[in-house]
Amino acid sequence: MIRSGNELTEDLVVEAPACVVGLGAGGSVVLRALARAGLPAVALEEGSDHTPFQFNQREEQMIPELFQERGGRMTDDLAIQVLQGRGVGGSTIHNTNLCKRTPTEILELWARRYGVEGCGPRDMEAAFQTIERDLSVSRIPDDGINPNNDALRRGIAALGWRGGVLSHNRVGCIGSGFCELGCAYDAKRNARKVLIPEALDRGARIFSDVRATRILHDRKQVLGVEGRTAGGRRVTVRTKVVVLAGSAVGSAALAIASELPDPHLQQGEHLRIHPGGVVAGVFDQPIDGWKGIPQSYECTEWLDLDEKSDKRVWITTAFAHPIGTAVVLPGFGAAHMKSMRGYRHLAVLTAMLHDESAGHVWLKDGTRTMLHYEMNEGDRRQMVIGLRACARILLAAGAREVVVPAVPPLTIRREAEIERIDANVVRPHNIPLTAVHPMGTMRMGREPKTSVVRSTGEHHHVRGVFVADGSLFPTSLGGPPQISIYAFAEHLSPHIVAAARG
Amino acid sequence: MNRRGFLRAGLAWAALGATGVAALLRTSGYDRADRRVAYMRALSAWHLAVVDALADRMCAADVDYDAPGAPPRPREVEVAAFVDAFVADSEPPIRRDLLAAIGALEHAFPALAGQVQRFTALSPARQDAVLAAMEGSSIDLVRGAFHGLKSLVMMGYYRDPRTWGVLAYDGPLVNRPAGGWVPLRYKGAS
Repeated sequence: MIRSGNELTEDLVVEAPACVVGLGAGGSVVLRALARAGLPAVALEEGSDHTPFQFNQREEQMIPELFQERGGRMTDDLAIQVLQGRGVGGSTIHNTNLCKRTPTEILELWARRYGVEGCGPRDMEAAFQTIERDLSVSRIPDDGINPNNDALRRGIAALGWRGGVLSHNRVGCIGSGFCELGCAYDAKRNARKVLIPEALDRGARIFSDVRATRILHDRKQVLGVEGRTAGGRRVTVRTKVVVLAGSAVGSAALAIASELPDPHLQQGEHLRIHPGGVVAGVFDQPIDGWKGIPQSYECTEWLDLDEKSDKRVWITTAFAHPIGTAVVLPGFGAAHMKSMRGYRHLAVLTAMLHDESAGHVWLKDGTRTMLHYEMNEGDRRQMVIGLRACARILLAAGAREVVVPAVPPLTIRREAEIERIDANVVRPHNIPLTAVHPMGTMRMGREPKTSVVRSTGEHHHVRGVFVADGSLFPTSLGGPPQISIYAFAEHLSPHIVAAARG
Repeated sequence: MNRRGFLRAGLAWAALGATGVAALLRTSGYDRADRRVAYMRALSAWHLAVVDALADRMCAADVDYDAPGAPPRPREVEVAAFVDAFVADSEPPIRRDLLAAIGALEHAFPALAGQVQRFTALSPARQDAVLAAMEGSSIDLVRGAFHGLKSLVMMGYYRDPRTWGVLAYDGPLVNRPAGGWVPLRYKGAS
């Protein structure tokens, strides 16, 4: 049963063996695991439930509907746009379906440096396999590589750099190119399609359009969750197990608002976001980058996940529909419109950082969720490396010119000019930066002094509070996180089930 | 945030606060007879005038509007109505920020370009100078306000299919006539 909070005419109190807060990748896995164990849980999701019929491929309607803060979430200095999903299925509804496992180097680092136990490569193998099977993960076929991604492929090949075709979780994709606005063709094997139906069939109850506002607890044991609808109705779930799965931003904000014991001030800290900057190549031939699978190829030449490496840039494509492009292209007025006329000739790459900068989630006036994040000097250097690499790839692929959307725009026509992309170009607010992968604010680890939850996902200080989303990750992943989130939720689910059984 | 950044932010917030006061005092001289005002849910008459002026500059065409194939004017595609709906449907803190940014554009940001008149009273060239000063400002909040306002107006403009000719964008696939691609039927469809 999925019931919208908007339909409630009075306050509601329900009892359940567990309550899952947030129904993205992690929450959906846990809801299914509980249901499979004969423990039909209740889930609260602040966004709505959508069917593919509602995905009308219109940016101005889908972005406010599917993204937090109507697509306008920013870091508190307004320097970085942070795109996060809301709704049943969370970000899996509008992500670009990239599937990469948590890198072995990262899992080993978490064990070595943060004392994460039982989550090494071998420990995680079964969870990865389960998730990849459920989501029908497969390599994107060669004929699914559109001209924008082909520009990346050709550039990498010309330079002799490392790169390759990505894997995805689509079946029956027709290449409409509107993935980020929800798939109207239901070709995404996402959480809403794959996991939630089974959980519902087994008795799980979902309340959409209900925002969890407080975790009820006595400082040692969780007692329930309280939520509110837009209309002000209160939904109270009485339970002894609460699973936070509302993203690295939402879960941390709820933990802070609920005043969960946090003697070492760890909740909301260590935020990583994979900040990304873009570079556009202008080609003589039409690219029509809005058509076809948006992201199908990657460059890993500048990514080495070894702890001491100084290569921390992952490069892939980043095409946007008209509104997104208009916002990113610098300037305004006639000059801006002239740039927009080149829309179909643009190929766009993004340099996404495996970031070391650590931000935090905080509450303004005790209620409004805010993100503080400033890129450190090391990450700024990496951004310069990344943007230069993107420019080099695009020129090698045959771009007539390359544009870095700085203020003022930086246009590069020859390899020798690439050095003009320097630290000054990437200073705050000078280039549009976007982040779509918040992680790390409720991180796991052995020591309560440096982490929020144990390696089982359970809170160090409050029994029955678990975390099952990207906030678990002690560091950045260096790549798309959806498989990691699904798999960690799958891997930790037995602990949650055991707690719910009591 | 370092100390310098803190001071800058403090000054910017002070300017925004002062703008709020100024906005309360300086709401005369706007076209209250504009019939659209009656349909606005979030924007007042003076907000509407500011958004109109902003959209005219942000989305100014690179050709004469009378030229064949010229893009539509922002008012033709009702950018202000879109902005009003967006602001009205936003949660209260975001609504407050957006209205504050509109107010600051009208009453505070012209000073960045050495202008003493409000934004809507400036010539188009001077309005452009104000926007350029905002975009290039060293104050985070000013640049952030520019970005926010630009995003809102661009969304209002490029949402309209009449603007897509500029881009050679063929729009949502679900609305295109059947051609080379055959959309799959959603399995739940009858």
